[in-house]
Amino acid sequence: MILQMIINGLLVGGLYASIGVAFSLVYGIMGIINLAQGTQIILGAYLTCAMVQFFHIDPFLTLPVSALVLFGSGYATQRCIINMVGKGGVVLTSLLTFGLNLALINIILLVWNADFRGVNPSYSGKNFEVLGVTIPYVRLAVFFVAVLATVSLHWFLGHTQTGNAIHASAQNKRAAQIVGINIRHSYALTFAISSGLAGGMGTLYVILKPVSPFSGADLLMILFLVAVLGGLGNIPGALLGGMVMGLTDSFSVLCLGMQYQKIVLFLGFILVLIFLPRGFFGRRFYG
Amino acid sequence: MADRDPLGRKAIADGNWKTRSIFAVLLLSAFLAPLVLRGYWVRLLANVFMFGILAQGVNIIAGYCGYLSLGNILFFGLGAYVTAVLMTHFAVPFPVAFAASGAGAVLFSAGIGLLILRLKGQYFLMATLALSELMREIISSLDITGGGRGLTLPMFIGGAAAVNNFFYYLMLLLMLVCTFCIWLIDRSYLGLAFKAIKFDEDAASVMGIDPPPYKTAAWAISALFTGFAGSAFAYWMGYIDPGVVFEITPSIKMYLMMVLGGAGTVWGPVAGALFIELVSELAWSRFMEYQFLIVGSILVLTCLFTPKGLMDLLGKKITLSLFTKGIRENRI
Amino acid sequence: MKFLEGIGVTRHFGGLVAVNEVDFAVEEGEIFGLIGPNGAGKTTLLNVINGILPISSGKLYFREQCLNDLKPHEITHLGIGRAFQIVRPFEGLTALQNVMVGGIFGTKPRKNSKKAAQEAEEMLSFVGLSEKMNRQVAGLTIPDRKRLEVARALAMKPKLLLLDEVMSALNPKEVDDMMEMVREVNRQGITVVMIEHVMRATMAICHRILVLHHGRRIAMDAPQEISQNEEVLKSYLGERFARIEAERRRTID
Repeated sequence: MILQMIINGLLVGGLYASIGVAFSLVYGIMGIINLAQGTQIILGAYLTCAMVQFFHIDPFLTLPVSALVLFGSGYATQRCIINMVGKGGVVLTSLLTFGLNLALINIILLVWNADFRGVNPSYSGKNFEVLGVTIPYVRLAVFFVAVLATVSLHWFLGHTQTGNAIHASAQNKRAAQIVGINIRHSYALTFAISSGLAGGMGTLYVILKPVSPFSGADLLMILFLVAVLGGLGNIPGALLGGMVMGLTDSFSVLCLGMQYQKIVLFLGFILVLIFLPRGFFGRRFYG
Repeated sequence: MADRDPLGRKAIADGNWKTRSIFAVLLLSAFLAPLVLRGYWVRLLANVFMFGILAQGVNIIAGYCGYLSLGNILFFGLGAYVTAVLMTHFAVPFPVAFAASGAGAVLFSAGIGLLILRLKGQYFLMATLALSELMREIISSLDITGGGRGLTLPMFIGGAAAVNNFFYYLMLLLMLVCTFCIWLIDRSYLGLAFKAIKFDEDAASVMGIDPPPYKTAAWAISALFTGFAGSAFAYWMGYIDPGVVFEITPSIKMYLMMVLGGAGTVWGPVAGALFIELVSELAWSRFMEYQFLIVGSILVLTCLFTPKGLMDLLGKKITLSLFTKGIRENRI
Repeated sequence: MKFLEGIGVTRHFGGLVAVNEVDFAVEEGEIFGLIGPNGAGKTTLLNVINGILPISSGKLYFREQCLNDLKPHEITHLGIGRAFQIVRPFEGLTALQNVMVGGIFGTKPRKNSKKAAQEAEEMLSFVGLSEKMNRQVAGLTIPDRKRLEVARALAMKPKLLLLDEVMSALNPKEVDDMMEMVREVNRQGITVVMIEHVMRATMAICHRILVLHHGRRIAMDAPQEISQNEEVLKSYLGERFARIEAERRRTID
């Protein structure tokens, strides 16, 4: 039973981790809190639903499209809107992203309506058993894709020229500019990557559960938690944070029931902020 | 009364007879409005005043002190529930419940502030968000608060007009008192310390300002008025549930109002509340499908073109460059 | 006891030890220099003295009072003033108003505005910013901002003034002016501890100098001795230069 809980937690943790990574990336590189991230994930989910509905394809195949659409729109958003006031401080950029969030929710509402939507691939009910633990194929697949995405991103940032350029622009803007890196482009690219990742994760998310245009808010809380636990700006940390989140998720359902799950979530979050000065790896929370 | 702040600065709107008379006229009309306007408008304005209080609450802790309490709505909900529970289960009369709501909010903010105010900016923001969600969940699961089903308060005695008018004046008065407090703060050493803390907490502390007591005071004052507003709201509506009083949309609206009107100014948030609430109401009634888009767009446009708020535009020549200043300074 | 004394002062950040068991002592009334290559831990040491960073181990005493657990504002009220390296004046305020903020809260009990304004004016004239008194800080040049920092620190009536690279980014004439200003501050009875990279200035005005390298103290002596200390030369200028310099000196003697 415990083992089942652990496995469940880890599987969903992979997805949580990716989402946290997307958020952490933008915050770590640019210092921007993207309050629209939750809804970006949802947009990816809705795109998947639409494609599955019209083309009758497997939802996993729609992932690249979701990711690409979000990537493109993310790039444009950062380049044309957020960059305009990028130096304005956390308050200003947070409010800005919140405004964008509201607008995005409305767009989703207009194109699709407020109903919950989901996708149900033909193999969704199928599991396999190992060591007395039931593992649904879908969840396993979601886990692998999510982790793959995260690891690739980490590799990309550390080992390619573009990735290094992005890192450089985070560390020291002026120096990066002097060396010839185009900050505006770097930032836009970073945001694009984060959005693309979010879009892809939206595809995975909707495979697991249905979404509504307002589901972004819950996701936002989760990704805050994951990013903070792992240390804002720290990708491997976010991976760990996601796992912890996933585990907490499944254990709290077991021990306390659905009702108290959210209480544990929020209380735990606050306690982590107060007592765990660095998340697991990151910078200090205190001024 | 001090006309100048500790640094010897005068406010733009202070002092000359033109602004004073405009102000007097507005005040008078606000007091006389219920006599001439229909119920719908009276209620709308009462709502404006209520949001004005909420926006001012956020103004004190975020606008002046720089601590983004995005979850400030939690004090609103707390105030609402304290009043609701006291009046419903313990037959406490409204004035007492009202006072208790304020006291409760202050105590809670002081207590939780001890733990949370020492967090850095972005973490404080998240913590307050989590706190308001936590509050909502806890209240949803308790019996005494009616859980998810909510609470129905004792009815206000009087006809529809009486209800409208009572709460209109209550909200108006509360908003004026709150704004007056902010005016006092703005002119005092307290306000100067707040601003120093907002600008650079480390530098402020090296200059002899001990941040924690000041931050706690700021949040406590903010909580007080926000709690009062919640209390009045509960009695006004006659029914509350966790979803209504801990809703996240008002949280964001408060900030939008503060930013649009001018964070860290005395009257900015009130002006912002007026503007946003009227637009919001219009959007909801005529353009319901686009309401988020409208509010969101206003927020985005505000951040891009008037980041310091409308108050900042007062007394300046209206030119295109005034609106592009924000971008020119903050562009990457 | 000495005016300002540090015994085994250590400050670490996780695994990185920025200040490593540094012993030092500053006499009252002197100008005390703090030098060392970049990353040697100088600013960290100053931040620890100021209370901005808590001390990891060791003890700090100012006029017999232990500074270890005090908060920055308490340390300021004891009489230690600080001018920052990265000058951060309050934007949106004039030069005068900036200095006033320091004056108002810098002493206990709090001063009232009038007195603070008066004293601020005095401080600004002392540093030579009288004509720019009512100008917004955004319109001030770098040398002016540095002088503003000093004025603001002075408005808090310190007995010990901590300066962090006040002479960087100044041209030679401005450096001379700043040197004279520091001397004048000292003449008024204020002890000065200054971090500086401009060697000319440090050598000329400091009574004694503490040299840090990788967080450790490698010398604490009068300028003359420091300039001939091989360890110092090695750390600052490299092994090769130290050898060349030693050669040079031997041929002169």
